[in-house]
Amino acid sequence: MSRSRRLWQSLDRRTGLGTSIRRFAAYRVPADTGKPVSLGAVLVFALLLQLATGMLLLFHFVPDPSGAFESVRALMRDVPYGWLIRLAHAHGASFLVAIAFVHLFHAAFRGSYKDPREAVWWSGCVLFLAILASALTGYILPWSQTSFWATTVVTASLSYLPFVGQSATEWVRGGEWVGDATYRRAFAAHVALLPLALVAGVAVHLAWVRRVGLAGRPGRRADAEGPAPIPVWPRVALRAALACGVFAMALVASVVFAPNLFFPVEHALPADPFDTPLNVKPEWYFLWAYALPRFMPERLALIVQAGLLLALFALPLVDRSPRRHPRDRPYLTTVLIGVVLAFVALTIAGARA
Amino acid sequence: MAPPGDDDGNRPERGVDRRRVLQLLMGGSTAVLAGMAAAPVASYLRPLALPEAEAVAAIDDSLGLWEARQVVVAGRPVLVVRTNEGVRAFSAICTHLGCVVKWRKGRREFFCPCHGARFDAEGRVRGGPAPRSLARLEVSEEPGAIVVRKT
Repeated sequence: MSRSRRLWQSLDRRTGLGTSIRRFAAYRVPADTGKPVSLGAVLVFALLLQLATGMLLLFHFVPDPSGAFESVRALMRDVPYGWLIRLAHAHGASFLVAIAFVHLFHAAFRGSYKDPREAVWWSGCVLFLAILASALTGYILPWSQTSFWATTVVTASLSYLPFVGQSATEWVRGGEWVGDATYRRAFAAHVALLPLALVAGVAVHLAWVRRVGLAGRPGRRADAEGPAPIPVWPRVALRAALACGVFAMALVASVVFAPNLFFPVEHALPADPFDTPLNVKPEWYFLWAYALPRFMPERLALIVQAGLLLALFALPLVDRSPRRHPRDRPYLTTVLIGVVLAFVALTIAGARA
Repeated sequence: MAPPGDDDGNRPERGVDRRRVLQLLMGGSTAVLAGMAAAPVASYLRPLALPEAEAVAAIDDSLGLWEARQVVVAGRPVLVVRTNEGVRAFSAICTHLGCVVKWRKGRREFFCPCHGARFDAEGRVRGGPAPRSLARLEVSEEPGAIVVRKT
């Protein structure tokens, strides 16, 4: 027996590492898992990438309103490969949100939230919100004009909540106005609270997925049997690896060929609390919420958003039939398509406004 | 709640009752301890009151008719505008979502760059999503200066 083999065996005997890997490789999942894309695997990969690049950024980033903007500039210009780490993190956030959106709607269309997978759905919803919160708090940290004014607008919109509005706004801001206290709250949430919650949340989500099994492609009838399940290794694992590879290439391509893809010009200006630039807009994934008050009163827009949030969590309680195929539940499928179309339409309206 | 008993209606053994009491005590004290830990955290996270900044600002009186200038009063932006009825001062914070409004001389109105709210030279809502007029500040013309006060 070779030396490395002996070393591995002695390690395995003490840690059970090999056993865990073998057990995972043999774990059976529906045969079409990862076709055409392993969204869940890509999400985990994207999240790990955010954690890695985020930690690296902390070595040079100055987390304070007085120094943040200058330190980001230094990262982009002076620190070797600082631009790569910083842009991978900033673009990665957009990719992460986009894939999370698709993962969520995919699960909704497939009815993957149905008995016994309600808890998986709910943990996924919490993760989705944590991803959005991470994106929002991360956007504040460079303390640019867009950081400052997007934060001002988002926190001010809370003031339209009935009864608790003003105090909710002040609590989130850490004071009457957006300022140093707001910045510190965002920083604490972005680098400690939310990453921990995301890692723990993903662990819980995956443990529950493992417990109840993947839903797989829905058959036309509830009792329809799909093809026999297959082990994770090799086919499903390789599909996931391929999807992660494609994701990484897309991310690198956007960073290298379109570095300003997600940044408006105002993102290159330091925050000025006395001057709101024209055309302040949130990032693309919040454009729909930005566009809503243009079509309805602020309070109604808040109610719509709260309703969507409630509907997201209530979905497994509302749609309880065991049938999962989109054509077996035409009403819900229509509503879901409507939500997607409204999202796209509002996003376009927000981008054009 | 009736004490649990068996099918014959017998009183439960003393030990079971004691277990229930101990469970309640354990649960109760855990809840109290959790509350005792949460209360300081809740206070810790409450926004701190900031010291009040200078609540008076002055500009020279060269401000022309239908012209506006931005000053800082109590740490917030304020717009001073000279109308044909005199000098006015308004908080530049849009009442919709808190962006800083700009003065459009040609249209004689305040305009919010965020969601397009518009206010006339008296600070009243002229259009857009703003729910209230701009907050008005006390302003006085003194020899050579225009003085704005937040009261």
